[in-house]
Amino acid sequence: MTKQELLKEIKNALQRDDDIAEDMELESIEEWDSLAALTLLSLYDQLFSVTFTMAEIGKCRKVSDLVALVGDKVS
Amino acid sequence: MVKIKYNGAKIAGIVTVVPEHKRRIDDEVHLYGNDPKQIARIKNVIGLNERYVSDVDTTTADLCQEAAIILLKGLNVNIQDIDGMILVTQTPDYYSQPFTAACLHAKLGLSKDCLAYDVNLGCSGFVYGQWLAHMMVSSGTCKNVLLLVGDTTSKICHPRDRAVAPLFGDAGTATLIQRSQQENPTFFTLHTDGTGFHNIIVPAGGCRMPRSSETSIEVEYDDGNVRTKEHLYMNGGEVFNFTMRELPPAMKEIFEFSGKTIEQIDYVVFHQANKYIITNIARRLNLPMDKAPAETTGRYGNLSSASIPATICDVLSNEVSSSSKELVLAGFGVGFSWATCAVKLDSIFCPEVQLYKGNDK
Repeated sequence: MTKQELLKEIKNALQRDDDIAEDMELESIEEWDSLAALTLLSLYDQLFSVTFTMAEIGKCRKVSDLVALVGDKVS
Repeated sequence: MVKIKYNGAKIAGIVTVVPEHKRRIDDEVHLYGNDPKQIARIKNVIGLNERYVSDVDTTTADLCQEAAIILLKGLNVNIQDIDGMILVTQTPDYYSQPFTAACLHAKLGLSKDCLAYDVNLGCSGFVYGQWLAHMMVSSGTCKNVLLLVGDTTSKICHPRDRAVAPLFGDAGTATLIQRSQQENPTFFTLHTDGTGFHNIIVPAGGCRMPRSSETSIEVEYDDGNVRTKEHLYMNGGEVFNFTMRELPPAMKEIFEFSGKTIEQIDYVVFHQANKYIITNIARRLNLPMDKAPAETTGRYGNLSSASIPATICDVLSNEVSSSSKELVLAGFGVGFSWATCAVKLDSIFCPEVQLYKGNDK
């Protein structure tokens, strides 16, 4: 999966109308809340069969941190 | 690993009763921060829509009582022939004494030759209850065990805690487990991980933290949710992680132990925690979604211990009433506790979910 595809998956998971970019602060994203974090756990589980903890997601500050979680699984 | 097979016991019928007040999440947007977009996400991701909640005067025991009366009447079983009753609930009539099964024993008019006790378990409780009932029948202790399983979790949720309030619905169920002339093997596996006990908890009200003026103070947390120490708290992320860590291996375990393949099983009925947990587990197991009902949460909410029997009544009523179906049941949640069961339901008494009437109270 490419980085752009992952960003699109995250955008859809958040049910967001506008695109998201890697340099965006999570706090600045209106839809980012605890439900969004849960949704992301579920999404990563489905896409990559990796289960992160809420603490790991909670440490992320920017969209790029969310992408970095899955490391070399995105290109 | 705790795994066991019991012979000579069968499920004769299952009845589910929900209370009369229907709530729609769309009518409650004001409770959850007036954010319609967030409500839309809750509906879509968690699969929530409608649920039924009981009024102040109706308890879990009342719902289970009505379910039991419908069940025994439907099966034409004499109340005097019941020689065992188990009540599985986390919302009893009394928190310490007496045990609620005693109250139900009196209200149902059960015989003095009927044993009765409570079990405090939540989302794994229906499968644990089946294990107890099958053990009691298979060992020869009892001939007819009435298993009552239910919760009125809405009573312990703070209305402004959107992590729990829109999620939990109320229901009471009754199942009859009887001696079977056939071998009819039923398989169980049971687990506990008590290190997760603090992730689903009502902190105050027991002997560890008695109720006081302090425990009833409302606190608004960083996430905008409001509750007191006397309300249910749930850490959704930790519960999700627990489920994804433990459920897939537990499912493999029950398939191996029972010697059944996914092809031989008609349905896997998971505890209906929410839609996305079931979807994720099914995907992990390569289980087709038409074998894993996941829509009951949308119609009734998360019914805690009652969700597996409610799903059987909600989705499989016709099929298990008129034919023989091989099921795997999987309950998981508070404790943490999880259990699975491979069981056959052969032309049982199983009406669709019933609305509470309260005529017998």
